[in-house]
Amino acid sequence: MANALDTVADYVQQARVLLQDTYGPAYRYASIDIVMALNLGLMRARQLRADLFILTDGVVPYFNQENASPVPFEVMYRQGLLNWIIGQIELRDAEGSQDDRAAALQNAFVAQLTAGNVDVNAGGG
Amino acid sequence: MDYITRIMANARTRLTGVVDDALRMGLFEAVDEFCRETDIWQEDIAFDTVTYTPDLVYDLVPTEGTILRLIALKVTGQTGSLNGTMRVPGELKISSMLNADVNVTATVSLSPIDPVEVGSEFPVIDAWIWQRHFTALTDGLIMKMASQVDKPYTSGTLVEYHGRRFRNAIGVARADNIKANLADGQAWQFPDFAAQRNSSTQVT
Repeated sequence: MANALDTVADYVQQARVLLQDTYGPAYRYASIDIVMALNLGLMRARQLRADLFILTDGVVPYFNQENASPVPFEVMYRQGLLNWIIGQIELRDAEGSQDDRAAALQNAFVAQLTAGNVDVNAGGG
Repeated sequence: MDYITRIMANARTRLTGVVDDALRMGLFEAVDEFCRETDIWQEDIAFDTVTYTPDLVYDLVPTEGTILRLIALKVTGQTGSLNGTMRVPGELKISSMLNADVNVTATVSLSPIDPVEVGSEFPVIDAWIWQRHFTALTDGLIMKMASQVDKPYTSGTLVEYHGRRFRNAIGVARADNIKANLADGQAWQFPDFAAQRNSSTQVT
């Protein structure tokens, strides 16, 4: 059954929407950077929630390009992973406000994985 | 809605953010513990004896599950008990001297095999156990999940509440099993130190 954020390309596309970087092909953020942020988010999730990787026997999937490869990640935590990706991308910006927003987004993902009733949209901005 | 579906649905509603893969693992642990502590899942395994030798071992193979304990050992169709031991689960040694070709029935208790090994999503046990004990298994599952650290559903309160219910249910199931689910049956049993035993551990 198809769901939101099923594939690597879905994550990249949705991240661009929230980063306001939808006009290509000369994007502000390279696709490979967003894909790498996805990989880092999955690694963070593996550290916090090994139960999300039972079917892969604990192995964290790795992606090296934007394509239609499925991202095996629990549906209810996908929005949080997307927020993590955006936060990771925004870390590169030097402005203080962006740093705060980036940290908030990534902390929201961590909190969502480890604590109940967290508003993953509380990323500020 | 079957009982496994009901247990999973109950657990999902009580455990915010829990994933089904983890629930399936937790359910196996709960069912396994329930079976191990109650001996409620049993099977009679009949076989023919061969010529007696002191170290003769009979390998018992249940239809499903893995053997826990030897509950009873009898000549098939008779009431008297035989002497036997099963130091390694499934490897039966009969102490009683029997002729060859005597049909013997060993009653053993079972626990489920890891569902992954048998190609199932859920533990395979007798259907009546799901039906009769689904509330206990739900309590056991929630207790085990809520006791995991740093999860959205980590809760000492849930562990205490459902853990107590699970332990109570195990005690009731164990007693019901001893009474063969007989209503108003003997509600007590001799403590271990008062039980009658002989040196060769006669099982009845």
